[in-house]
Amino acid sequence: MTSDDILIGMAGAGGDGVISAGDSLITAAALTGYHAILTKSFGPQIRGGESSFKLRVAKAEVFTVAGTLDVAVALNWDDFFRFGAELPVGPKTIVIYEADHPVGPEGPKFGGVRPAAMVPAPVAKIAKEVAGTEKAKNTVVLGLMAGWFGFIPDALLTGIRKKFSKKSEDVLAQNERAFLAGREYAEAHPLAEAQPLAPLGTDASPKILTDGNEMCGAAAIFAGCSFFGGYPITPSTEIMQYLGRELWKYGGVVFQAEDEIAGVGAVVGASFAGKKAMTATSGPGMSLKSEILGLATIAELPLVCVNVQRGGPSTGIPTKSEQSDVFQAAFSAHGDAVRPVLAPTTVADMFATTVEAFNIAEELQTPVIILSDGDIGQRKEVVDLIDTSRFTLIERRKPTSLELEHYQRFAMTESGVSPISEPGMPGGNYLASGIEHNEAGAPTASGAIHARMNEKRIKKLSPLKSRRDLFEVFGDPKAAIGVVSWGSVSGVAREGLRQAEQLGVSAKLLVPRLIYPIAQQVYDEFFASLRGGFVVEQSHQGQLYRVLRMYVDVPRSVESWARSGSNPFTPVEIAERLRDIAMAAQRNQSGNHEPAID
Amino acid sequence: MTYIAKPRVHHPSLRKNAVGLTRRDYEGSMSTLCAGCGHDSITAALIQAFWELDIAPHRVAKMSGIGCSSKTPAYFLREAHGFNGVHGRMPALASGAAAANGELTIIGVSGDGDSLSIGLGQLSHAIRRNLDMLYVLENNGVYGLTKGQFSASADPGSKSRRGEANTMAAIDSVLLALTLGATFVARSFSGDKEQLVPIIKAGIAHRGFAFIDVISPCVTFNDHEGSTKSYAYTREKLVEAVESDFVPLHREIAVHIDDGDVRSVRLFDGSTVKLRKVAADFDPTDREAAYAYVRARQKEGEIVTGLLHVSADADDMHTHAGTVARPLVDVPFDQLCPGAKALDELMAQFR
Repeated sequence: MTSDDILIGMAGAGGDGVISAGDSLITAAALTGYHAILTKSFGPQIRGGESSFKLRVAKAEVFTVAGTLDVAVALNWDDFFRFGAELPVGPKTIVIYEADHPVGPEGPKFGGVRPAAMVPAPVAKIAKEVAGTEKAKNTVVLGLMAGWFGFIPDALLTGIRKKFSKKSEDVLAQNERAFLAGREYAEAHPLAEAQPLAPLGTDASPKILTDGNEMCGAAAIFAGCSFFGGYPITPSTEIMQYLGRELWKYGGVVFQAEDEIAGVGAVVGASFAGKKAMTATSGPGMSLKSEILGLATIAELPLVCVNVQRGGPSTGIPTKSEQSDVFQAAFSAHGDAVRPVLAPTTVADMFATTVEAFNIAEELQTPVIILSDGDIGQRKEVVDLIDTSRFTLIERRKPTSLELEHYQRFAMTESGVSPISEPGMPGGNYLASGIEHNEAGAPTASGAIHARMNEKRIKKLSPLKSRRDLFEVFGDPKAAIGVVSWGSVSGVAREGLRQAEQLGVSAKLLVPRLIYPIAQQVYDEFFASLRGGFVVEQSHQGQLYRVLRMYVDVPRSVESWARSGSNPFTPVEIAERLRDIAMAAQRNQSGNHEPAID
Repeated sequence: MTYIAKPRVHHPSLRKNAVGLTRRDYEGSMSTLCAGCGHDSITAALIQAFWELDIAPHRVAKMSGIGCSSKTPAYFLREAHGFNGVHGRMPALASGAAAANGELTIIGVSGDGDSLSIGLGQLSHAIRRNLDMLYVLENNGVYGLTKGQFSASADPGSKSRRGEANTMAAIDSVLLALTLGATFVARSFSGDKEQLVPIIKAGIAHRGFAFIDVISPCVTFNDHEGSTKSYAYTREKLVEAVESDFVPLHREIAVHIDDGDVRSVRLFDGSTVKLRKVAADFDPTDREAAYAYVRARQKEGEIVTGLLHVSADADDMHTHAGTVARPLVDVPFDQLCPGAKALDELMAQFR
């Protein structure tokens, strides 16, 4: 029997090359045309500590690595168990472990779970014998994967050759031998429980291997962003690094500022000077940027601000994903400021979301916040090529020569959007300011003007609430059970919905990409058919649920299902909860027929 | 901030500069600062300098933060573009604007609160990256908008209007700028227009960060006996280190400095600043000597003024950042937006 979908987890000490093995496996998957997701995890050391990866390879598109492992590889037990819940072993897991680290008499610490197989493999011994060094242990493991799980040997070998071609011929030959020896060992010791990866048909489309942060950077370039200002902060730094490598090729500038405030300040300055500009950060950096985002709102200057969310508050858990900055994104502004907040749903969707954020920012002359998260930002994923023909790009509305004769920067218009000039434009001079201003831009303390300007700045965003294309509904639109989920967790929910269908439960899922302002009508329609359900998200308070309740009549039967970061949801959990709700709904139905007692 | 428009009727006989504008065309709205405020004199010096340099106002971006000083860009160059941002963050706004359009003449006006307290970090880093701009710090040792608290530039022992003495040491912006490697450092006095105008002109022509600290007495909160930033105190204690005159590239003007001990410094755009030493032991091109001189006179209770240091050949932010020669705002969108072909190349890297 073969498998269409394999989840592999591996852990080892620093220097074991665990991460490198994960990279080799996903590269092979990408070259062949499989879908795949890779997440990496490290001990607290900056360099040299224990490390692990989780890799899922499948024929169809997948959205999460959450769930029980199909294959677990432990190069030593101490390091494997340091990753605890991140590498869950279940009754169907095949556990392969270094034979040098045998299981003690008390057995492995799987909490009573009996894995499908416990397979010792002399990885270090093989590496020493054929390559002369234990450094080749990870390559031996690749060989074992090829032998036992049919893990695309040709692509792995190509990858090994590419990777070591820069080193000496000796090193390349050692690694080739290590790979082949691992594969031969596996073939000589058949593993009955293994379900090898099903081969792809010839129609597999070409794929790219990327992550959400790189997709964000590439999309910014595509959208015509020519200025990036920011300060490094985990897990958003790769956006700045990527643009630092690429943006200058297109005439743009990357400005590593002295702090988060200066980063976004320079972005506001570049936008004032007429250019599309972006910054990226994570929670603590967002707090620092708040004041200047307020300035961009009142000065009506377009910009994109990416928050790759991590566990908080404060330093929190920088390396773990969380969805706990919804309140901050929606409400951290001082004054009556409304800012559009978008959230990507997958790594590939980060491209579309970033282009959309630039379009909204430029068209409506507003800062736009993208709430990405550490999972989407940093997980490596094999995705389909981006089809650029489906995007249109929007530019800010510049004044006409007629408008420049009596230029009014903040002229009242039906849409609330006024023509925007830039320094160097004769006749287009005005005072951009954080102080309240009249239509010409002159400072004012008039209550009447303040009220009209607040109205203008908020009204211009209302078309967003009718943007149905910023929402996706999966499953049966008339279903009585429904889920709302966003960001990276929406991927888990999509798989949960699929599994619920397999359990015989019909449900639906609403995934908003527009998080704020709340599109009441979209939610009202979604909730109308519901008799039960939940809003599932990765935050302790259930922040999207709470914000929804401010604006929408969320039915009582739709509950919040919220969990702090670093405690991932799994598709199975979601499917099972949907089934339980369906059963409970049935019971309540019969309850309605009970006669009244009095 | 209130905002009073001035009538724009000019006498036909007013002299025009090379771009066909009168001095009054470089004015702004009516000042709402207190009568006698030093800031208004600085405004007048700025108007004079921009007019004499024949700079077209629409090529100028006036940047400021928050405070009495930060209100002043409304009072000059009404046809220039302006950005009145948030407290202490003007240098960041200016950095972004400069990166997007390197052909703008950028002037920032700030105060001692905006620059030396809330914005000290931003000022320091603007100096470090040698951002190409004129930065005028209107220094009065006191917070005016919030009614009279000491600022970080208040001297120890200096008394507030209510009589309490400042106990903490002052941050001296000129010493700070010299230490951080600023490439153009000057100090002047709002009451000395003859000194201030040529320094401003040289600062505009300087490629890089031109820092001018102008002692600008606050007539409302810091012009009493016991204050070290009052008109009387400043006039009494001021010592001029150099007399400077500025010669733009395109126009020879009569130099009213004797050529006997004049030192010329050629600026990046080809114009020249001429410096005549008033103090025998002072060399404005020697950073360490300038620092030592300012410190030594300070110990004697004196305030050194003039163009204190200039290094005309340092790399500015555009060189550090490798920005394109052509201002980004003039680059057509289809060149900045690389389109599908470039995206294909980007995608190829992921494969």
